Amino acid sequence: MTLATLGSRPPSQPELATLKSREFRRAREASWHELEQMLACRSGLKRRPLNAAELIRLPTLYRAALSSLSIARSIALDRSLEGYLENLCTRAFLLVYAPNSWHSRAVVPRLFVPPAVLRRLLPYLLLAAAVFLTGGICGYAMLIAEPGVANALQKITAIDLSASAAVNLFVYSLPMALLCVGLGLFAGVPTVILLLWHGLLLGAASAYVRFVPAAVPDPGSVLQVGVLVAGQLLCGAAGLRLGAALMFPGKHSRAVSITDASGEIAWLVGSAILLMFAGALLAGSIS
Amino acid sequence: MPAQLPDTKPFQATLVEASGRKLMHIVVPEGVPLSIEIPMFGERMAAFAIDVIICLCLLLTVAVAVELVAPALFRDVVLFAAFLIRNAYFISTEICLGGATPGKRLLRLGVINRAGKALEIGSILTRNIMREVECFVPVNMLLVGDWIFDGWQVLPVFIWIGFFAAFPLLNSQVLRAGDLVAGTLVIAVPKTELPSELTERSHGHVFSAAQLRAYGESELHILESVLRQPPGTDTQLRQMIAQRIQKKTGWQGQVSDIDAFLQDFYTAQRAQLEHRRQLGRPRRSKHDAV
Repeated sequence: MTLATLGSRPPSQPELATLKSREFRRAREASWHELEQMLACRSGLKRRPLNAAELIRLPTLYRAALSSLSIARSIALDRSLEGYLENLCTRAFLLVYAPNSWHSRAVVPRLFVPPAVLRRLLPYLLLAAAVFLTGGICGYAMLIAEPGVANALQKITAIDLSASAAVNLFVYSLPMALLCVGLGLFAGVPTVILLLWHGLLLGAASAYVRFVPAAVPDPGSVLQVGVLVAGQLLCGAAGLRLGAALMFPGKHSRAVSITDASGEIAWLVGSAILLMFAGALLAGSIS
Repeated sequence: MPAQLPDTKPFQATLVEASGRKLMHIVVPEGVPLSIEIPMFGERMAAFAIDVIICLCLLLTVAVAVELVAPALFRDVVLFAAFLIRNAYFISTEICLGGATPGKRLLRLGVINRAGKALEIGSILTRNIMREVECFVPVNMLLVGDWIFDGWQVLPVFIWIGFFAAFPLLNSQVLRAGDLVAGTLVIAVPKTELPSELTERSHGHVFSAAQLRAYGESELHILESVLRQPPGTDTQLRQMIAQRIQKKTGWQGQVSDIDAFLQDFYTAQRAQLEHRRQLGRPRRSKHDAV
């Protein structure tokens, strides 16, 4: 007490008021520091994996930080402490729940599709194949009826067939395939149009062979076309799946429905890309 | 110019809004709601640019190697390598670094599941495949497919790129089309330090219960934000606040050290308001009933 304060009203609290929030902070601060250290060794250039003892300790520290945050929100009036705890909990959440290695058991099962998923995807694959076949039949019939169409088609597509098979595959087919998928967002209508169009081209090309026997393609081209068709069908199915998720979300919201479909779509497109990649390598080595 | 009182928003929200970001709430699996910051469009673009530059550097080394070893295969190998490098880079860094590529980590961004669940590998794969559709495939078509397009036929590709590039601007959470499909969300994760405890020391000023009934929690937060500024800044503001407190509470006596006075008042006021909160009668501001 100084002379200056003697003139004030009689004090009604002790020298240093006991604050529950201060006691709470003193009790919990050590665990926050420990969690900070764990976060520090997983970030920056000197990243290292956590050892076994730290891994066992991590969930306890994470839950302790969350409970500290809840307590601070209800009893403490130190706003910057609350902000710090929010930030600490967010960073700890990222550490605990984000994937962190290729060796995790979550990666490998994702690469293999369980039979139930295949059964769910079968209708879309069949639909894509049916649309493609329709286009093929139309193209074939069109060329048989009116052979002059071949020149018009060639001008429209202007595919440079002299370029190497691999380049062709990747620069032309892959974009078209991925377009099928991405445009599935527009209710699958562009996907259907693209499938019909490619089926038409293929049908026309096979009819063309009938007229010009010298134009029989070599094995490399046949493989290229086969891979292209397979990739198209897979991506078309993915696009239709995406469109179906958008159009028929069932009892979920559209965003949730799309998110649920994303696993299946990822598998379809991933396998299509791998297929095209392998096919391109093979086609390039054959021709 | 006379000193102005800072506004009455809470400290964290003030900081966050000053940085231009929005706040959002997610509920973690443990049941606790967390408020997280949505980054700005520019931050995401910058992180992407850094990643693209890294990929280009890797591609450059491959291109130089191919040019020296087998120049005939240059075009094929470089095209394949571009595809492989960018996919391998994005997917493997996102899986190994907890959902964030090095570009994102540099700008202190992270990726979470939008529903607050764990981030799945399938979501990462989907995000990256959609990035191919949004950006890399059309750019590839422009750069390489010069024998497909001529003249105005390039326009749809530009529209395609433009639409997907502007997509994050069309929704409030700055989601890419890939984020929308995969159910992920990119958040800003700045690193904050543990703030010091302001109530550690007492400088001898004592306040009565009646004097402490003058203010509420929002005034306390304003005082806290002033006290947390480095000492020596804005002495005019501190003096003004000290004078207002003395006038409002009816404090008699001289104040030799303004900082000490404000700290003691903060300590006493916080103790009193926390006690009221515990009893279930919080006082939000001085306008509330006593």
